[in-house]
Amino acid sequence: MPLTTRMAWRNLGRNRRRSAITAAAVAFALFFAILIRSLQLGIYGHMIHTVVGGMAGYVQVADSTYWPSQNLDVAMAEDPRWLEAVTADPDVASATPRLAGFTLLSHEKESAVAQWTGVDFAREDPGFWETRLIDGRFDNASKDGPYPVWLGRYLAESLDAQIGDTLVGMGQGYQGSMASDLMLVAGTLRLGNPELEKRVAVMRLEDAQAYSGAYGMWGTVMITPKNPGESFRAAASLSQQHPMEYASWTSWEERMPELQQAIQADSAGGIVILFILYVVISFGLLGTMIMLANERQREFTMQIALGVKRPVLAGMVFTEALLMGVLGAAIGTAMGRGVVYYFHVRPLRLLGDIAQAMEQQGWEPVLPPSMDWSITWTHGAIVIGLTLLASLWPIYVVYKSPAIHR
Amino acid sequence: MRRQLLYTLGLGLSFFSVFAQNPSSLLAKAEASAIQQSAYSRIKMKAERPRYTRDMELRSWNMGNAYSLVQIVSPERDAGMVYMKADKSLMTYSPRTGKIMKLPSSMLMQGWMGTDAQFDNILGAASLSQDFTHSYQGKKTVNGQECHLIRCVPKPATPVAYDHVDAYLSVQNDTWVRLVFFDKKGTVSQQMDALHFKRFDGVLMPDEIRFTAKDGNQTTTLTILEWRKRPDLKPSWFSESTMKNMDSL
Repeated sequence: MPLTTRMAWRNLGRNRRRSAITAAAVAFALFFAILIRSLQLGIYGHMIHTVVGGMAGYVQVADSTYWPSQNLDVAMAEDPRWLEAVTADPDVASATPRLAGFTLLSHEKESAVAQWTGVDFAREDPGFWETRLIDGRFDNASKDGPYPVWLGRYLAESLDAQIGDTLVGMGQGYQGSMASDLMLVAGTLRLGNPELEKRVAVMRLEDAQAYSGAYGMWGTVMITPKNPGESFRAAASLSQQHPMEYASWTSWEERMPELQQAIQADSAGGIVILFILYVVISFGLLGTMIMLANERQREFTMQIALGVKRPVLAGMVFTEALLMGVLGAAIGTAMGRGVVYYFHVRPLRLLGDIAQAMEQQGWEPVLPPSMDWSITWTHGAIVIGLTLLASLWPIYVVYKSPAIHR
Repeated sequence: MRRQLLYTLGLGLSFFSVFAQNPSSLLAKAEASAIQQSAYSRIKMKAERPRYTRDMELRSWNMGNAYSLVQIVSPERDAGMVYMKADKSLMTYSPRTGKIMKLPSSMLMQGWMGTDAQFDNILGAASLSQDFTHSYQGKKTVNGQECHLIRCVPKPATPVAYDHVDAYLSVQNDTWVRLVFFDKKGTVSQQMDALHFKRFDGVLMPDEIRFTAKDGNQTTTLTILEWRKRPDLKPSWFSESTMKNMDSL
């Protein structure tokens, strides 16, 4: 270990209280930064996942005129070989076809407008659907007889339908034909998005095709990239590698710009708060550094008089600041990650009016924090950088100190 | 001076209406030719869309415009579906479900089975001569025929979604040639053109009608294949049991 580093380490121990104050300032700044940012980004992730992940798809392939009307008439012809190629792509986590349309469902005296959605259960993650199931089963649906249907929980409530009840569906089918048939309630679903739970009726893809008359057709293909955060880029590059005629590839940011903008606006607010926090902490650090320089003025003078070169002395002070910064950052990381992990295991759940407002906007009222390490690295680097910036004051004092003290 | 002008104007207007034909009687004559009869008919429909065309064949029974029953004969997938309008209620029967469903009457204004014809057009529209007030707008040539243009504004109690309807009635024979339906914003929501006329069972009527929807790039053509007077039909015939037992007809 070089001499300056060893001396710097020992200097930290010579005034423990001062070192502790500096490290604590760094640690608390980082602790709050991690907490605020993890919660904020976690909530955005939760929003995107519930709104986009389950039913809309991070990347969606559909006929170029499909959005925004979601018209069943422009469904695409099935292309299993293309789907195999997309699924095999290393950047793709999953690719699943869907077919959806609107219909009137009625059960005895109650009726409601529902969005039926054909799902290819063989291709989809069975775990995803198992966790969404409140009641009923997926595997015991019969091959013949009325089409089995899994209703969003609020839709089932408004239809007053129990498992085993028969519904009458009637609506517009594919390209002008009628969609009219019987359906058997096979289960109810919790989709994490109350808007969807009010209207979604999930069917098997082949049943949906038969019901609507769109035999051999897909409405959309939902693609989840390996890295969902890169949906926008993935949509562009995948469309180049796996072209499909007349189809357009859209990432959720393009289909739901309002969600994207809401997140950006809210995120900017969080950054402003962090900026204020960092300004306050910076002046705290600068205060301890000025205190340090004042208290050690005599020591600096003495060392210079003994022949220690000013750059060496400055390097030592800088190393002290770096050590305090890293120490504080380590403590802050431990505290921040600890608390974040606790909330990760037991997410905060909102209650009362706020919870209702959130449900109405379409997501489950929980606040799961983000466990992304990049938040820790970014803000750890920022606080250490601030400490080093503050250490410029004692370095300046080192250069200004005369060799002879009065 | 101004009062004098008003008098002259009023006098002029009353003279005009004396010499003009009475628009209400013109409309009544046009409707009497086909719409007000009790009849059975067989109809072919062809919906043309940018992406696809769809052919359908129907059988239809009606008594004036208050009672009507339509059964789909082809295509295979939809065959056997029945729509019925009996006075104010609208119902549909699907052989796949074996159930009769009531439809909201607001559906009368919507496109019928993916065509540009509205439920209203298929199941009997409001009567232009009885449910609307009329004003005569002069003569115009439409589809090669000289026509009277009559603007029809619905009476307050008439349950229609249009703002007004421009009816072009042939000067030569008492049939309509073109109907243009305007919505509340004053834009054309639907247009009907009678392209060809034929005499069925002694009644001259348009046997080829083209429906054009809002933007004009999609049309539906309706052709009457067969039309017979059925004076024996009674309101009680238009019942749920008739809907369920159509095969014997």
